[in-house]
Amino acid sequence: MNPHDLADFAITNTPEGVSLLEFKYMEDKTDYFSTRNKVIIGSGKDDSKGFGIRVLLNGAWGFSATDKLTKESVSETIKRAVKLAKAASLCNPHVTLTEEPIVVDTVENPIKIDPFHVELEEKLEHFVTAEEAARVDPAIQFTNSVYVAAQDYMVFYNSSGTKIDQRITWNGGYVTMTASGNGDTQTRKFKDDMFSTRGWESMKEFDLVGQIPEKAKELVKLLEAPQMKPGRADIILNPSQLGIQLHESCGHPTELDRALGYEAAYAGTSFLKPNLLKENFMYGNEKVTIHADATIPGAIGTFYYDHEGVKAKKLELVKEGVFNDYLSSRETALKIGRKDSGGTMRSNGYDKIPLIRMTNIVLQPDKTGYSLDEMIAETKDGYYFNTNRSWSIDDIRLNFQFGCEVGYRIEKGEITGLVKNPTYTGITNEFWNSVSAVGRPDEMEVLGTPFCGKGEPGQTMYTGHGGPPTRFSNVQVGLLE
Amino acid sequence: MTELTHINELLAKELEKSNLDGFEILTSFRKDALTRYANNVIHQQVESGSTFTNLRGYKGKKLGTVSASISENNISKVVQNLVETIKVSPEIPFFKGLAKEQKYQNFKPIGENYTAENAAEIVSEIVNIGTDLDPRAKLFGKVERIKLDYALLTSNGLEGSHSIRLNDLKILSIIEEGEKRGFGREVAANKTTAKPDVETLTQSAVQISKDTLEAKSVDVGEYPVVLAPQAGAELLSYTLFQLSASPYHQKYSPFSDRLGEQVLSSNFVLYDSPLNPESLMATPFDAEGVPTKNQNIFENGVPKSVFYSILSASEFLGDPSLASGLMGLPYSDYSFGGSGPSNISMKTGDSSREEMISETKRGLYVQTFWYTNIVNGPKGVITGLTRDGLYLIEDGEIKHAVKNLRFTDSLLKFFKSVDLISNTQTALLDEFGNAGNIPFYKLENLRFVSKSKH
Repeated sequence: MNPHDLADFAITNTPEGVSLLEFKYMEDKTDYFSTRNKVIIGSGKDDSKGFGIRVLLNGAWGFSATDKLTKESVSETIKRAVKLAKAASLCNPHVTLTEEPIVVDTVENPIKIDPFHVELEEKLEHFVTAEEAARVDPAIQFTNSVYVAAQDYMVFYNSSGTKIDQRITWNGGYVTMTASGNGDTQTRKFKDDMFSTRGWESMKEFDLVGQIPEKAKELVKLLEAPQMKPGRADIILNPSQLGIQLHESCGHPTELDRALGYEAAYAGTSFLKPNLLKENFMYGNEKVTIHADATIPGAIGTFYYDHEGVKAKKLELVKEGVFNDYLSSRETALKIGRKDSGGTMRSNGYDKIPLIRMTNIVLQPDKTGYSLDEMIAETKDGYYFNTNRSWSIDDIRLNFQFGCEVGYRIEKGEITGLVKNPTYTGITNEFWNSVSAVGRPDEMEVLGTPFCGKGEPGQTMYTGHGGPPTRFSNVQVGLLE
Repeated sequence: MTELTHINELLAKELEKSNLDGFEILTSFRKDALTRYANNVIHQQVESGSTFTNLRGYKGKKLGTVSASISENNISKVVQNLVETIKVSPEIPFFKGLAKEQKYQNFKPIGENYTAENAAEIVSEIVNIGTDLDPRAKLFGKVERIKLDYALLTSNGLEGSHSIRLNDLKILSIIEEGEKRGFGREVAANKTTAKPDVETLTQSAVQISKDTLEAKSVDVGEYPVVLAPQAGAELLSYTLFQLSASPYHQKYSPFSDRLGEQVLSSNFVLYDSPLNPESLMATPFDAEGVPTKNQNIFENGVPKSVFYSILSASEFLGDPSLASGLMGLPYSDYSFGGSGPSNISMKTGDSSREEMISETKRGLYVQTFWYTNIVNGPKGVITGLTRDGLYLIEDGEIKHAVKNLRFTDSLLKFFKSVDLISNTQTALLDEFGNAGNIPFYKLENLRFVSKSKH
């Protein structure tokens, strides 16, 4: 049955006493494959469709979902959601919501080449050729590749009158190389975090085959490279490592549901408590301005409307160092005195409730700032880190430790060699207060991951992050012996 | 279950028309029900039920996989999708077919779920007990009910059905006083509707949050550690990941080329018990139709097995019949697709939590680890942080709560020093939803490298 008809039926049958009913139909499809040593080792297609109904009754939420697409099933699902809301009212949360504009819209992200219409053979060739190009040395014993294309189609109606039809398509992939020798094994992923809300053209436009041999040669050299020495040094992060740093130490702690305790028992809380908004808390220094921008064309965390029917926004989370805003929802925004939701609620399927999710978390470039070369030339004793290998941060998002795949030693303004197994650690706000240089707009990249996990039951979401190369002063590096 | 079997029969009938060489169907109905509470109120009360099928089929050495929401209405479409996938797939040179005819050790599933009303009552009780104990306490957590029915049918004559029911309870108490925050956590999982010991668990969580409100800082360095079951489970999970076929054969695991060698402490025994009906995720067959078996993963510190799927057994060993029977069932969106044990137990010893503490001159007691991750695969280095309960032990006694610390250390080192193990186990689910029966255990040393602020 047509999802719009089901949605109409659900809204028409909103039970008395229910102050809000949301109907969300989602049809998700995914195509994927993985290879090892140029041989496909897994491929498939996932399709799921169904609808979820969320009701607000006497200040309590109830949510129920099903894959049975009939009017009878809509009636049953409404009944179950109401029953659940009644049970929840035993510990009544007194939920109230921001008033949001009523929207009637049909939207779809622009793609030039639909990845679902590209033959598997062509996609495979793209990656297998890159794997072949990566075989620059016998030490490289394994090459792997991964490719994913996905599409979320959503029909969202609510009892206030909002009617949204939204289709978002994204894709991305990478090659991983593994080299063994000299009693060691090292890996490199390329190109890391290259996912976007674009079509297959995004993969074709990038010269993977042309660029991968250089990374492969570097990987082999890493086997002989010295282990990073522990100490304190200046570090420069490339856009992808900066991205994961932003994701973990800015994106997650500015999720307002987390700050208010809704994720406390699982993903944790946040050091960014709401009172810090009023206190002009210095999250970083004046060089640090961070946006959560759901409107960047083609970025992986981009969409038009969130799963509460709120238009996608650009939020200024940190303004010249000052903590300025949260990622929020209709319920949570009101709790900190905001009149509007931040429009960041998304779910990864019809059977999941929406949660506050990152959009694109981006460190804003410095228009009159440094190029990467200039940044390196000005660094006396430091490192340039590329490509995340390991990430970990505490449950209030302060103590972090990251490992990277490769480190470049910088001495007296020049790169003098490679170091292997680089790591660095710090405390979030101290780290962002140590920024000594932010790169220029022409060197920034917005990358991301489609696998950001959150919530119970667990959900994954496509989220973006990035910025220009950025330098931090006097950072603890090299914890491994 | 009849409905799932019926769908499988319809799929099989359609697949038989498609001229494939073989197929495997796993159809499941999963009901996720969750009552989640925060700040003393229920903020998430959800329930969903979906029927999915995971289909694999092959023609020659071409293999295809599709998964989809399934009903009688889209049988042909799903099968057509599979056939088209196979048509455009390249050959997998090492592919030698799917699971062959085998016998399952069937047993009657045990388990029952709470209702939404039961769950709300449990939350209400937790909140009442917690706030009575300390009016400053705010309670957070969940009562989750997992119901999974699944049925298997393959062209090689394999047929089976089973179900899993379990309930997972989490209690977190937070006490705030000015800038200070104290956190305390307890967890429990079970298969029956017998009410958990809410009172004891809540008391413990609240007490830990009171203690950690006054946590003091200690120096980083190496400490003997006594690990509560939830902390111990985290270290075990990250150890088991390293026995997956890919990292093992790509030499990216600390156990690569070391199967059969004693690499860990001689009292380190881990076993998987999928055929014990009492196990939380008990099942007679895995998601590929391979029979499960009770087996030792580590025997006296010796890694005994690598986790192979049918495909990775064909690729690395040249023999699909060497698949481990550990391919994960779709009981969670987080856990389907990988091969690894889901019913792990650590063998008990003869000690107790109290004895471990009393025999520690200066060390730490850890309630929970959090955000663990692999830092260096080949060297077995992992990192993570303590959370929701960390204490200093001095002269055989708990002295005071300690601000959280980060550890970064090699499992090849710290699991070589398993000192004492308790004579009791706690049933729980780990971060990834895998079940475990984990005792308290003590490591002679674990290296902590940095401090957190709380």
